[in-house]
Amino acid sequence: MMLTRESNIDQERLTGLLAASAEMVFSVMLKEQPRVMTPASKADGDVLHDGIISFIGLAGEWSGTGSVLCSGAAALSLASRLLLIEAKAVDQEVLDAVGEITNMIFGNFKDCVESYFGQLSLSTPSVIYGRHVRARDLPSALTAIAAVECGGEPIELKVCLSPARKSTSGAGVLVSSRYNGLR
Amino acid sequence: MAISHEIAADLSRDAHPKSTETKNENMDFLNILIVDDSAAIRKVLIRVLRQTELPLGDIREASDGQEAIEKLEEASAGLILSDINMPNMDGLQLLSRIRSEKRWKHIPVIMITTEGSKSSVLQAVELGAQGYVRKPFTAEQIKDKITSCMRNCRQ
Repeated sequence: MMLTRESNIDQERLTGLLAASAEMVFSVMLKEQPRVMTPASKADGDVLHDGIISFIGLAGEWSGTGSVLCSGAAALSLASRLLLIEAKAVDQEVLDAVGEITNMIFGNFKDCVESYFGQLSLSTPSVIYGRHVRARDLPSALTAIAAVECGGEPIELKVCLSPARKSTSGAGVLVSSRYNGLR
Repeated sequence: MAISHEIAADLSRDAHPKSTETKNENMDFLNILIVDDSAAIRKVLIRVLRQTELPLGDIREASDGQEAIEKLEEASAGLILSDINMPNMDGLQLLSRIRSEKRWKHIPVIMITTEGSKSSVLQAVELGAQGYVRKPFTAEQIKDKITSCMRNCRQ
């Protein structure tokens, strides 16, 4: 399915690149080959989530957001593997680890898709942790969702991109600090 | 960018190993400043550095370019490993500042970053970065980059 004339990339390819970026980060930094799964979320619509959402902004000729959704248990697993610790509670260190994994996944994804979307810049990640967190995507021309399983826990990856308006250069993302730990 | 003998001299001068009992006194101990806004990545880098068997001296941390400058004011470094995308003062601004200061301009800087675009790499090289490592990284990549960087600096 061709989604837009400008981007010249189909959703399947975009989803594949997203999953491949996660696989690469997990295998190098966490020493684990994640299993690619079918995502539970739909491409459009709100997400009501218990756990962690980590956002990162993408800006350039196209702009939007990348996000990682996972449970607290998945975050503990990610942080434990990245830092070689036994993380027992979702604290600042765990949120930091999830933010950095988000940064690496979308950093690699960005490099993979710049040939389609032009040069893109990344914001610093912003990590939200809480119950009943509702995330609403801005209307976007392209949305892709991939899911991987790491340590037995599902982790969902989502990217929403739209052509940037000429008058704006920033991504439409609420990112002002590295972490927003809401409990 | 080749850095000449000035670096080798500085590496010796900057070396302050906490213990000389287990280290060869003839080796240059490398004092490293890690600059990254992610505490997780700083922790991972310290672990990776300790796995490399490089002759390490002090390893210090800074969470952005501004803090890195403050750390350098306290004591110089033999090598800086810096992220690019950071708040307050980013890695390229830090690199530019270091290269503009006579007392620091000889310090080798390796950028460790998710930014892999050609323009970022070119900008870092033009500003005087000695090396570039993409995240995610392996211990081998870090060791190889530091080793080749230090070898070039001593030539």
